[in-house]
Amino acid sequence: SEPRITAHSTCLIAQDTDLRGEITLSQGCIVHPRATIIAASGPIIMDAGCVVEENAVILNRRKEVMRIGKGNQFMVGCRTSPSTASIVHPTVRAKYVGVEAASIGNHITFKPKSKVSSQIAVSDYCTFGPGTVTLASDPESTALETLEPYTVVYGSLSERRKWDGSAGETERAVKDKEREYLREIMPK
Amino acid sequence: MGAFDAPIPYDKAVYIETDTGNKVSRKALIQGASNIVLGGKSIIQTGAILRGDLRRNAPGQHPVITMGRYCTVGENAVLRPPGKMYKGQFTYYPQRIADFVTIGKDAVVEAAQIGSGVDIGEGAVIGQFVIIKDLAVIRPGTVLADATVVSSMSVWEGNPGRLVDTLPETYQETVEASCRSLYQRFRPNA
Repeated sequence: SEPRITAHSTCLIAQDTDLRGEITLSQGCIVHPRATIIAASGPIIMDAGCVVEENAVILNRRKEVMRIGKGNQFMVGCRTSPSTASIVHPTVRAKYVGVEAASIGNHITFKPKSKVSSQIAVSDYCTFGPGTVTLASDPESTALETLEPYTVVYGSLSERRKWDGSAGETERAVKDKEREYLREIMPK
Repeated sequence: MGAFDAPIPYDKAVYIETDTGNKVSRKALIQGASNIVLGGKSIIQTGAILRGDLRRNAPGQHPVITMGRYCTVGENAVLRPPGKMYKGQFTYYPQRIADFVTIGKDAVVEAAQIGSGVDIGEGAVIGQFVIIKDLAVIRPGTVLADATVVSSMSVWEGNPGRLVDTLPETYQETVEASCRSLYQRFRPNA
């Protein structure tokens, strides 16, 4: 399908990105070069302040809308493909992400090369460590598994634990500053 | 290493060779090329991404990514300068890579400094502000947390990356020889 991209005027989309399908980017989204956002079957709506870094892949294979929340960070090489719709708050930052999550909340960080399966609905403030693979706890069931907010997935075995939210505000402030800075220095 | 080692051919149309002997793929993504300094006789393979545009917001030219001689950046590797807050301002810091460094395919490198002779395995993720001293080996798939300091001649592995081994003193000669040999063998086909 021809790309139908609706982007807010404050979005920064680098050249050499691969955007296909019906994509809506709200204010302040930043898409780095070589990022891939494919709204294959259904549209993708990204809320304010998402950052998608190089080699990140956001893929929507479902017919339903994939909504990505605020302040998410998709770092280098992660893979995301949500399979169900969910309202996500603005600012998703994705770097190199290959996330196949069903729905993505707000203020989530997908560290480089993390992967989230399509059976997972990601709640707010989750963090996926670099190189982790997040699968549903019960691989047999086809039901969506919702990760609780503040879940951190880490390590080679992709273990999970809770974050107490400490220093969260400072981190988000740093990310806001980073986005402002990128807006200044990145070539349009 | 020897006279009869297999050459590594590349398609002549895909690579550009500079005066200083750097062989850069046209399909590599080099942003901010004016801020990137390559030492000479280095190889940047197809699909590699070098973000020279993530620079400090200061007047004048300063290199964002510096690489030494005989380095190799593997296919789809990403070299990205690390950034953080300093005195209330967010800024990116330069990435300094020394001679004889081999960065494997699909690696993500956000380190601040990489010493000479370092071998970064395929698919490794090197966090922000990591300092890797000379002659270290980062095994494929290793994930180094932000701000890790890797001591010289050590071997790191795992997610999270941990020290698993150390290397003998003779390792240094072998690394230099193999990097030079790799560069010699990297030739256009036909």
